Amino acid sequence: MGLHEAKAHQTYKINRILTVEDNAISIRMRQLGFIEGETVVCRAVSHLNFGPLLFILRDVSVALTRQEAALIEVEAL
Amino acid sequence: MSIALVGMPNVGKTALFNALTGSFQKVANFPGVTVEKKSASMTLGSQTKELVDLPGLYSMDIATLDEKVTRDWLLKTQSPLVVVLDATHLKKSLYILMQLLDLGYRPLIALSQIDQASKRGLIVDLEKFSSLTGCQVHPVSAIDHSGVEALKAAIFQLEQPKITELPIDYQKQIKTPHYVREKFKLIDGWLSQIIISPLKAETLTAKLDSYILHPIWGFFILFAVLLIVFQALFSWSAPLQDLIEAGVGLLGQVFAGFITHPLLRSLVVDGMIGGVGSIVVFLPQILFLFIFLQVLEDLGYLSRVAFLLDGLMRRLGLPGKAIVPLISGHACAIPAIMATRILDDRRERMISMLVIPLTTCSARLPVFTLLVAALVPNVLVAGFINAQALVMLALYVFPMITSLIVAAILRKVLPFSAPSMLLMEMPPYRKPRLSAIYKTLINQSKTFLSNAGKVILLFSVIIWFLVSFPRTEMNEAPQIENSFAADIGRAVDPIFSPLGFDWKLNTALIPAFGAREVLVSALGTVYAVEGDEDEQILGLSQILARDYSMATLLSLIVWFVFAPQCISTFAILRKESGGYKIPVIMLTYTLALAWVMSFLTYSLVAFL
Repeated sequence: MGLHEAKAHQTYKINRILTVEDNAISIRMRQLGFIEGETVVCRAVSHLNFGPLLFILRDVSVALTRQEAALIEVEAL
Repeated sequence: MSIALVGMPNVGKTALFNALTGSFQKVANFPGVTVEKKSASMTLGSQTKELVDLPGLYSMDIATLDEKVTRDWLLKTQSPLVVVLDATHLKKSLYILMQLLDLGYRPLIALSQIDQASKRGLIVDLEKFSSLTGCQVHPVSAIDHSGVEALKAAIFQLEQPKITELPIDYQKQIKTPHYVREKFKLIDGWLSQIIISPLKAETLTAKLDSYILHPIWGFFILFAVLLIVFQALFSWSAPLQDLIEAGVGLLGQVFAGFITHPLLRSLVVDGMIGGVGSIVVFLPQILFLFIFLQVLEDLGYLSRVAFLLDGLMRRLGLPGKAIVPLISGHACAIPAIMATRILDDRRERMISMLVIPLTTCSARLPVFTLLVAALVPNVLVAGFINAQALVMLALYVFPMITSLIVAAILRKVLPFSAPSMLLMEMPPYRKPRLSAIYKTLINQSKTFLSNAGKVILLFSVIIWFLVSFPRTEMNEAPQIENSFAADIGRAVDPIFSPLGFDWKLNTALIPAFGAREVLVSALGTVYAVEGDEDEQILGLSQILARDYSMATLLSLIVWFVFAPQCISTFAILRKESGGYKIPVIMLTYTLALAWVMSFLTYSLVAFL
């Protein structure tokens, strides 16, 4: 599943990052620790269909849009 | 030889820079506040060194323009470094230290927020930390200044680093997940060795976020916060404004008493004191606005607003992060335009720069306050909300919505891609720092009063001259209708009369292109020189209410909602966009928008 489908307070393990090119999004993801094998906890989900999501990753709160979160393939733990 | 402060975003670099140098650089609780390098002198006894505050950097693998500034500095300048690590977020902060060590730097480590970390139970084995990294470690707090002097002494001992020659494929290496994973493993290994007692979990942020970021409650809270701000601007500042107004009146009387020459008396009392005094009276409101912005930034609330509005903003074509410069624009457009550097996409930066001048900057506050007071009675709505504050809130919300609509139109008109990333770190909630509020008060008072003492004074004297000359055959001031000001006002009448403005308003509008608040001082001077008999008992707003129709006053408000910003905004737009194209587009479209919207307002209200 994509991280954009995350539910609040659920923990996920990152399986794959789906970005192809090395753009600002993929760089920022790496900088913040979105790499295979890391675990993330969903802290908040904004508006029903189009708002961003908030995750905790390596003790840091990170906000992502659904489009960005969709680039991260995860499994629920 | 200068020394640079480096570290991840929002770890307290600028707060430490201010503590070390005694500077007043802007500090806030969200990532990306420092977007260009800033330097200041730091003294220890008779020695002086230059300290450079570099924009935050997550990694040598850069994603934004401000990060490029820092990376280039690290690779080219190779000056001694102080790396700032947030003690409350060591897992995050250590990454950039690892990379600096790889480059051959042996920086001083400033362990910031140590007071907060200690309160939450963190105990770090500093000796072990130092032996693992090969660097001196200095726990510091920019709030109570503990450890700052020891750090400063160590900085003065720093020597030129010997930088390692990087492998040719270094930039490729640092982009691989393998490299990142290895660094994370190393960080986790270090942490297991240096942390004697870990941080207790921080639960307040999660609790507060469950309300503040809530899809429904979050918006109610946002509205309530804005309402409190504007209620405060009107209600809390009123006694202070009355005090200043009385002081200005007294000063005028004192000078009128001992200056005997009529022309000189008119220049000093009507031109200088009348003009500048009518602006200085708004100082409390402007200070309240800046204090509230500072408190909201310090709390970490602005980033939450970006999160809350991101979904809506994206539908209009801008990323949620753009809300940070847009909100900053309510204080002043100049730092707000510079803050657009946090946007990764150049085209989004340009759009944001073009729409920031539409937000209600603090220079518009005196203008709106004057006009709202002339239009809206000072009564309570629903028993506790000041009606003028409510209209004032609308004058902040309406331009904000307009700026988003203009951004959406620009997106449609210009062939742009989808909005860029949000991907931002959400700062923890922090207590607002009294020192930052105090510095804001001092800085803004200085800026405002120095502006009043220079620009406003100059324009006031010019306006006084224009309304006081040419002299009559008896060497007396002319009837104001026969003055130079009236001639100028009438000359531009074909442009402004469709908006309901007369020559007096036209005369005040022209210098307001230089600085918006000049409108108030210009009108103050015009009425003072005119010697309006009611001037003694009526405030400027009451005179405006008496002399102009509701249609004209509304049209004037609308003009100031859309009309171009001050000259400085034009200059900063040219600098930040790298040419004249963007400032010229901004000037053209805001002028056109202001004229059309004012015309529609005047025509519609006059018709009704």
